[in-house]
Amino acid sequence: MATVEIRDVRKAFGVTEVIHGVSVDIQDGEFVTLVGPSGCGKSTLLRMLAGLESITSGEIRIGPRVVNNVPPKERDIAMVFQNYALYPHMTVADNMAFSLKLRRAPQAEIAKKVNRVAASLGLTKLLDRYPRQLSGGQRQRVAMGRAIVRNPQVFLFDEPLSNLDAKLRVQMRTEIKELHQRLATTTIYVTHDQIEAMTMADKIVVMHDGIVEQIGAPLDLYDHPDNLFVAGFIGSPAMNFLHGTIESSGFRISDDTLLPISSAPPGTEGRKAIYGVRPEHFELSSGGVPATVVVVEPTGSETQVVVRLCGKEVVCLFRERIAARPGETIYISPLPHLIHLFDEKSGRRLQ
Amino acid sequence: MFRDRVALWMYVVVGLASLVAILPLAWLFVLSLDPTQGVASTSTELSLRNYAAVVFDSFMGRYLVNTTIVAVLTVICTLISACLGAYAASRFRFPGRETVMVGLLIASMTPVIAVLVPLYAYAAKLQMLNTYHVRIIVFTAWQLPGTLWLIRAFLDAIPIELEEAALVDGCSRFGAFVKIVLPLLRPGLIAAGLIVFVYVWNEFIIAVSLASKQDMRLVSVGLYFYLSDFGVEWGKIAAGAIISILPPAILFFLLQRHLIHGLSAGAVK
Repeated sequence: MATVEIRDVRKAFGVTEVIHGVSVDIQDGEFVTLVGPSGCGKSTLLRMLAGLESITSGEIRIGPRVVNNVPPKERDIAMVFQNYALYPHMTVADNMAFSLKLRRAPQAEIAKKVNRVAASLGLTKLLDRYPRQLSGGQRQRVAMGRAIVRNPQVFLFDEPLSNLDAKLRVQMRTEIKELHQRLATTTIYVTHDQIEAMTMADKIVVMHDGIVEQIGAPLDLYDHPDNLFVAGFIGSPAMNFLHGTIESSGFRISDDTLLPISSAPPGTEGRKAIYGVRPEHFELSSGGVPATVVVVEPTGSETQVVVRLCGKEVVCLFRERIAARPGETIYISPLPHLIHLFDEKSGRRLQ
Repeated sequence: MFRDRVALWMYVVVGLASLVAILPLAWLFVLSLDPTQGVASTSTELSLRNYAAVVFDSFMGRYLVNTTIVAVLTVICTLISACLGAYAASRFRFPGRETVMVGLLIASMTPVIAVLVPLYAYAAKLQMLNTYHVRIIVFTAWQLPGTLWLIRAFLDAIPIELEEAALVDGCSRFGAFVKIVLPLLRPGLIAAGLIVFVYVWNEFIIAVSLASKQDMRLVSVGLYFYLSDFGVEWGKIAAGAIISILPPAILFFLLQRHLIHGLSAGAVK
């Protein structure tokens, strides 16, 4: 059973604490992404799972075992690094066979496993090449092949697609997801790209400045972000935030502008708050608030329009084509059941 | 032939400089073939008599053996110590790391003459004069700081992720060093080894101080005493000098590909 339990883990480098008590529970076979901006501690957490960094306090379990002091090679894990970390002086076949040779597996068994994994990743023709003779995508596949051959309990991915170009990234994303569906191995995947996180994960762990902001399924995080950070991080283009006051019938952002809300949360009337609305949750309606068009960006399938609403720039995403031109006024209305309210001071969601 | 005038001039300048560098050696070679033993002799007679005398009638063979033993063992000791030290300096963070590294470098800048008398006194007290091991130890200590710095530079260029991948794959720390880092360090090791070899081969002051018995001399010392042992026989000295140059020259010739690769690979990442 390859469950992973991270229990109140802290990490300090000298006197600087970088991870402040993180707890995550990962079920067997789950695909979990650790996502967050650079410096949030996600890679450090992954390296602690791998055994490449020591744990200052807290507990990490892989399966039933506490692995705090277990060296990487005995944790039954495999890791794919951001820059692949292929051994340059070995061929692709030797790279993939390395861990099996260390385990002193019989030669025939090694050959069989390497060939099988190479075939599944389309690497059979490349087995005799050296890493320097491969393209970025091929190297990434070899790195994955090296991990798969070990047949570990847990896969760890450390931003494996960051060094690839956009098109290849999309292709490899699908391949990794297919791989996970096929092998059903517990996978922990670190990325700073929230789209990667949304499309690949069963569960997302959003991290920020060494703490966990929210854990949940991708659509849960999208629909019900717990706080400002998660709301602004998940979803692209990012959510719009407007400061104002909650009233019984709406949200006042200026003397003459009231934005719709479905209902004021109990006890919040008159309170200052932040109104969050995603760009895709606006509709064009004659009864809406007036906004001056700043920029129109058609992408073909959608139209992104940046407007000025009460002096604040707001991004809208419409499915339909917009005829408006910069400087013109359009009337937009946020969909009331899809807006979010956050406390101004703490940033927490107001229920 | 030369499309570019600048290239033509560069070739001329480099050619002249090479000529200036090689001329003394060429003169030495011609001198070694002159059987009259005069340094400014105008005789055009050429013979290999000087070489025969050096090879068969002198201790040159013995000196070459001694120097080879000392140089090779110094290279081995230096490389092993430097690798371990450089690995620590490159991979581990500990207080005073850079202080130690710079301190090593400063210490190695001490002129040899300044420590020669104490060195001799120690060696004499420990009854280690005229042995191989005293010279190996002293030469290793002399070469270690520079070699350590050189190998650290090479190690810094090897990404630590390779060792981490090896740790995850099933290596111990030392296993990762031997199986992954050392093969990648090979150009650096060859470059460093060659440099140490040549320095030791040419060294005179320490060699002459720590071993005075004839059968334990190194080639640099042997050549020097040739002057006094046999009077001034310039032809034979020249032949001895040419012979003493041969081992490092051959080694260089065989390994030059690795040397150039090693010295430039560390610079380009």
